Amino acid sequence: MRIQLDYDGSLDGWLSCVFHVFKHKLDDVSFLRNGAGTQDLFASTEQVVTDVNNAQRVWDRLARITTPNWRNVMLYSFYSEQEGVEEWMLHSVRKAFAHGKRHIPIQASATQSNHTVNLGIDETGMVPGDDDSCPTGPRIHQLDASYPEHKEKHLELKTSTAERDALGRDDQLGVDRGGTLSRKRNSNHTNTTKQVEATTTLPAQRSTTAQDPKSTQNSDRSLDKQGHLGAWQKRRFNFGSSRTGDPKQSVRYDLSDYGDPIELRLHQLKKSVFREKHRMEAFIRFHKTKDDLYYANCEPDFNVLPLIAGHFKDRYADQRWLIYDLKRNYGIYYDLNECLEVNLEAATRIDNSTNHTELLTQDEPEYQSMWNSYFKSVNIASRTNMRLHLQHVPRRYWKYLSEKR
Amino acid sequence: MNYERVKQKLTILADAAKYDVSCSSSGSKRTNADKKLGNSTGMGICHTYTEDGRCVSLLKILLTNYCIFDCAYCVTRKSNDIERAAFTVQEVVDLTMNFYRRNYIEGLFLSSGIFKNADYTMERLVRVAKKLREEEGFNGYIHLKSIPDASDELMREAGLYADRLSVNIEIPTKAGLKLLAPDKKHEDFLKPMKKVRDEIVQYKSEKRIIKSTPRYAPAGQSTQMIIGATGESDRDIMNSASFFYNKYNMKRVYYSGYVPVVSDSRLPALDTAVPVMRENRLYQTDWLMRFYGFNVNELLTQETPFLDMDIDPKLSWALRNMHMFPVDINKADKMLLARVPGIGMKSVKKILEGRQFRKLGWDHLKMMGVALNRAKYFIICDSRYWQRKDYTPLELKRIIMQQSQSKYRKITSNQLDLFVAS
Repeated sequence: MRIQLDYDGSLDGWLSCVFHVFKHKLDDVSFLRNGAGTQDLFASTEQVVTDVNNAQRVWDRLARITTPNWRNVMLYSFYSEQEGVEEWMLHSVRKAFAHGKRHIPIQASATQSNHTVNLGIDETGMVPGDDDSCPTGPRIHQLDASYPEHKEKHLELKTSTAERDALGRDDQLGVDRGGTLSRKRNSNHTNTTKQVEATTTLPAQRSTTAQDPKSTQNSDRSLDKQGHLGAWQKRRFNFGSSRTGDPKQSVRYDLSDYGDPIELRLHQLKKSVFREKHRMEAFIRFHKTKDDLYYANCEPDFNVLPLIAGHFKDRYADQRWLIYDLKRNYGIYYDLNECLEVNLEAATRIDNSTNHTELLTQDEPEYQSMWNSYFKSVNIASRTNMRLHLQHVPRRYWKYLSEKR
Repeated sequence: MNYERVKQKLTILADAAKYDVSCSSSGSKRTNADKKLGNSTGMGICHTYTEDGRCVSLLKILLTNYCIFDCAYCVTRKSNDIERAAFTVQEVVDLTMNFYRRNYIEGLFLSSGIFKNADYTMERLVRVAKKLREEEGFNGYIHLKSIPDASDELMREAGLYADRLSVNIEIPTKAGLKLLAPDKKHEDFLKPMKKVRDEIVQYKSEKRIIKSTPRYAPAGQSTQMIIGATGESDRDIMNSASFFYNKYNMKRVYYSGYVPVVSDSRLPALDTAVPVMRENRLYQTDWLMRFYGFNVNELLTQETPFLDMDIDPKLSWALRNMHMFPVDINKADKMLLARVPGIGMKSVKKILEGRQFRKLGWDHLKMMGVALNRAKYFIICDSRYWQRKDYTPLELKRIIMQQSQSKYRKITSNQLDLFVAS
């Protein structure tokens, strides 16, 4: 019989579902996001509680048996928020696990890589026995304990600059993956509210912060619900390079079966989410406020803010900025150290239509008008090609582009 | 800063710079290590597009449009009666920084009319780049124009601050240059190009031994040619492009259809349409040369010095070389697959990987995005469906053109001519 898994819509939630599917050997599964989605009359619904540890275990195993490209496609497809995407992803996860079972033995990996040693994952990446047999506390402790060993191994190997770099990267990796796993989110809760308070000397925005208990609560709840932050720490999901002792890239599972319609669809989905992400990197227009905050609104087609945060963080490292997704009602705020998820009330956002000029710096309108006139004067009238223009800058983005408004 | 005055200058000097096609911000990797402003990741970003469909990625301006030269094809030529203006170094720096911080641009593309002499102008351009990098901690993209005949020392310094350097060759043939720009010499264009090429080669070899070698023009150099100003053939153009790719390791050669800006007896009349389509076919040929393993002489032969405007260059090559086909999708090697009309490099990759799992048929190819309307006449795959393949090239061209809709149909269609003639 078909079973519908109802999860909270976060990446961790979905990974917990995968855990659930393999643990109970479920075959025919579909997904609901907080009860939303196509209800199947003949299916029974099961509630899956998000468990960060289970999620991490699934992801750790996947990280060992798949290529970074595979994980990228999964992450991007997930943020497309398309209906049915979870089932397609599960299809590919099953293929990946089957591949891993054949080519990448768990034993070998367990002795070589510290971070999976204590997890007791079997071939499918699951833990034998009951969930209760591995309580949350000790596992985090074990993860913590495994970190220094891991670091030492690198210290011994340290010979060249390249490896020193790798060490630096692993440093962060360890800290991220270590004991902070579950605490991270909690600390973000407090950070979020605290930081918003600190940033908003804007009179209107101040009302959103801790002074208004309702909005704070709102912010907390949606953090839990959406859990966008989880995926920002790409490192937490050990995304990038493989470390010593890991299977070679060529053995790992990649989405190269282009004849499989579902995997091809995942590729196409990744492509469209990537395009949207790229558009957002291009079409975000910051407005400088009087307290030196660079503010921008957007309404992306897909939930791409978690994907673009890194780009803006790297690029605008010396300015505070806030990008707000009006459609999904959350934003990311960079406080010169890290990116945080924030929620603002409607009245406090700097809107394009309403006049918030009193909040902006004096030269803001000047630079906007200079940009507009620059945009006009680089156009070559005798080559006008509106079709091409619209293809590149579809109308739905215009209201946030000062040169097109 | 006097915003009104700067805005005025910006209008004039952006207008003068717009005929430079290049606006790419890719190919350079700069990390923002010490928490300052900007980076480039190798992948460019187009922050907006003009109404003619071109990407706006960089703040593309001239430092000044005063010029001592009188090249017929150029708007800013000495004898042209237009408004002149000049930016100060500080104004350009301020504009770049403020635009960049608001995420309007990827960086700066600075060019200039030539005032006093080449070195004097080049020195000013370098000064802007130096100030951005060293005083403002700017890590964004900088594209500087190499002024023809600039000295080697200045070119060396320019490459240390800029990501890309470029000299526009403008006229593809020597004869054309002599006709339209009598003050300029072909050798002057090549001089800075040579220096930059040698510096890049030197940088790459030194970098292998000493890691701290200062970076030199990481995004390489590019050039641009005007199409349709003198009577050159497509073969002349592509041969000269191929020369620059091979001899000067160009990252890009741009082709810019001539936009009539001044009336001059040596040039096409003012109401001549911009050769947009010819430009497109030249770019297609360029891509075939760089990514698909074609040689210029295969695409443009002595007998066919002009590209076919009705169909793309790969299809017209295939029609001239029917003996190479059909190609078996499930067996052929990469470079042969890339030569099939309707199959691009993306599809080639998918076919190569996909066929390891199962034999591919028409449905698979269609799902992968192969343009079957062209490709089906040139391939065999895992299918019982029989595709007739004994058409003559002329028949095939007619069939393909009937079945496909070109965006240029208005320009190429000669159906109306029948009625016009009668």
